[in-house]
Amino acid sequence: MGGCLVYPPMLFCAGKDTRVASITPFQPKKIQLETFVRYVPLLLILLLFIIFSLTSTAFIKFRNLVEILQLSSIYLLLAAGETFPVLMGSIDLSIGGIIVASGVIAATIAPYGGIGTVVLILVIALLLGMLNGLIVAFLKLPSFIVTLATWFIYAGIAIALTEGYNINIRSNQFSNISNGRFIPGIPNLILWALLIYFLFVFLSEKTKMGRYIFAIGGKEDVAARMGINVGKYKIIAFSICGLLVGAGTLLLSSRLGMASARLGSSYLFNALIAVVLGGTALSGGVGGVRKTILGVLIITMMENGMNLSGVDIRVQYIVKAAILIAGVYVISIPDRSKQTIMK
Amino acid sequence: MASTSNTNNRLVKYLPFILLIAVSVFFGILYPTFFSIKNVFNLIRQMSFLMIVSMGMTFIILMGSIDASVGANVTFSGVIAALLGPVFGVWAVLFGVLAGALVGLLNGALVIKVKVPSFLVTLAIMGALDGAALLLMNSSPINIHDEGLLNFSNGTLLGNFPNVCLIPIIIVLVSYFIISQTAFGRSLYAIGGNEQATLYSGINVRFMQLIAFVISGATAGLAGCLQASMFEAACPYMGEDILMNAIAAVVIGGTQLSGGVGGPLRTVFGVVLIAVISSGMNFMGLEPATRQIVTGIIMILAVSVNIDRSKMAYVK
Repeated sequence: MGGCLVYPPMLFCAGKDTRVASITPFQPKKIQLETFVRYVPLLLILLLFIIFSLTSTAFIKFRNLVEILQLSSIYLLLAAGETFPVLMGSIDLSIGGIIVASGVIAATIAPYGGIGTVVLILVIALLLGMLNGLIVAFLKLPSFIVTLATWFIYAGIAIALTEGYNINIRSNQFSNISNGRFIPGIPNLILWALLIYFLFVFLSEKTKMGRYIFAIGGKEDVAARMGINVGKYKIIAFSICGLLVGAGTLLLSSRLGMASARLGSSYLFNALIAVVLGGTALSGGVGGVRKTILGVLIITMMENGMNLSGVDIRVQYIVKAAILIAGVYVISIPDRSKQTIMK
Repeated sequence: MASTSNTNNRLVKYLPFILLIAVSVFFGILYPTFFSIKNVFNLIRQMSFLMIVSMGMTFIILMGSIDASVGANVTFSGVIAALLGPVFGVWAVLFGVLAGALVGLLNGALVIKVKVPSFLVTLAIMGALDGAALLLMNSSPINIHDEGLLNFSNGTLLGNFPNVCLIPIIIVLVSYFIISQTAFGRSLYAIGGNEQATLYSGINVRFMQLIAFVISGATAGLAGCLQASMFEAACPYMGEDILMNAIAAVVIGGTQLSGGVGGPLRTVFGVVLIAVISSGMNFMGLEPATRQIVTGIIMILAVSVNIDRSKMAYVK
């Protein structure tokens, strides 16, 4: 097209040029908005880093940065798990319930922290996630209502089993999963989290399963007509979510040396914020597991920074709620067309 | 508009009655004292605030939306009433209702202006309200000593008729009137039936949604005041299990989560059913955690029986 502009006498091109010219005024605006939205997470990370470095001297210390990474590791697995249902346009509100139920059930059956405890946590979390998927797929119910109910059910199971007490898992071997140092200075849970995370980034981007989940999120009826077994992939996505939440629970229990029925409440919010701020739209089909890591860094830095600045934990609830709503709003700006009907 | 399976619909319509009779007979035979005057009055007391919240929730679910913040709103408004009790006496209830209504206004405004799905907005608001309520009560219960405020639940306004019965009855009648007799009520059915068509037919859908959320917030506020007055204190997380029970009651009563079908009178049966079941579980000696599990299962079953899947091209 540029060539045409250099040679004005060429008559066929003139027609084309006017068409291009009539479109161009609209294009820059749209591109600007989308690029802006795409870089929001990175800008936020940078902004938060600068603000907290200036307001708190402790923030930039090596020990605190490792602390942020440790916290991030657990959130990373939870949020990566949550990304799978969200990519499909579904949601899993039960991850807090899965955390407490899988930890408590496993610690009740095998409190000695051997390989049995590890396998049990992962298997139970996988099964609880799968149960969500089975209910959503077979009863054909909206995921938010199913997982709202299972959240309460799973949390109820954990409270019933522990009667409110923590179950200690005393084992050096178990504790070493998170707290050991394979690389001096860097706790193992960071390595585990990154390893598992990148494995699932690979699965979501390079396999048929991953692409189908995107397709279902993009337009479910089209995906179904293309011959994709939508129900099967819903069950798979919710199972993966359960498994990753289980992996997060494993690292968390290993780090704390216990399982408790009271752990789960704030994790759902943090995971949702991380998924949304990373750039995965709740309407589905947009974003990716790969992006979630940015959202995780934002939420952990924010939490750590607010803690260091002495912000009351109860005020943090309010701040997080505001961030969640604002995040959903900003991320879904380029995608508003999908949301004509707002229930 | 012809229904695809009439028998199924009729079953769903009478399910609450059948279940209510079955459950009542079951517990009545199992525990002879279940229908003693003392326990029935206890049942009504327990039912009162659930009834109020469920009425508000009916407005929301009729539109096909959901309000997940009602539980936290009950706690929040209860705290406001308890804090203002020493100053305003029974008039603190007004402030409690107002606080609840403002939360509803915030929910509604976010849903219609920011265009975030209602379950997510109200979930976020739930988190914020939990934080705000804990801040206001400084994480420990606030006792209520004011006679006027205590009499709000324990007193009688009409002869010997206790307020805990009177207030829910008034709310049910008002809700029934609004939903069945006003243009606003009919537009709720229209929005729930087909929001796009309602929009094109010239109804101010956004405004109706806003009003519905304000009503739901105000009823949650009233329930919070009633509960705080009944417990003689506003406690942290006191409204937490109301959310599940209210959704379960509305849906089991026959109002579809997909919107457009149902009504307040059906919710009345749903609430009575849920209250009888939960009182029965109390008799059986089940712990709160176990009751929570059972309520969750009931909710999934109720929703799965009573949802119009044909209306959802696909289920997210």
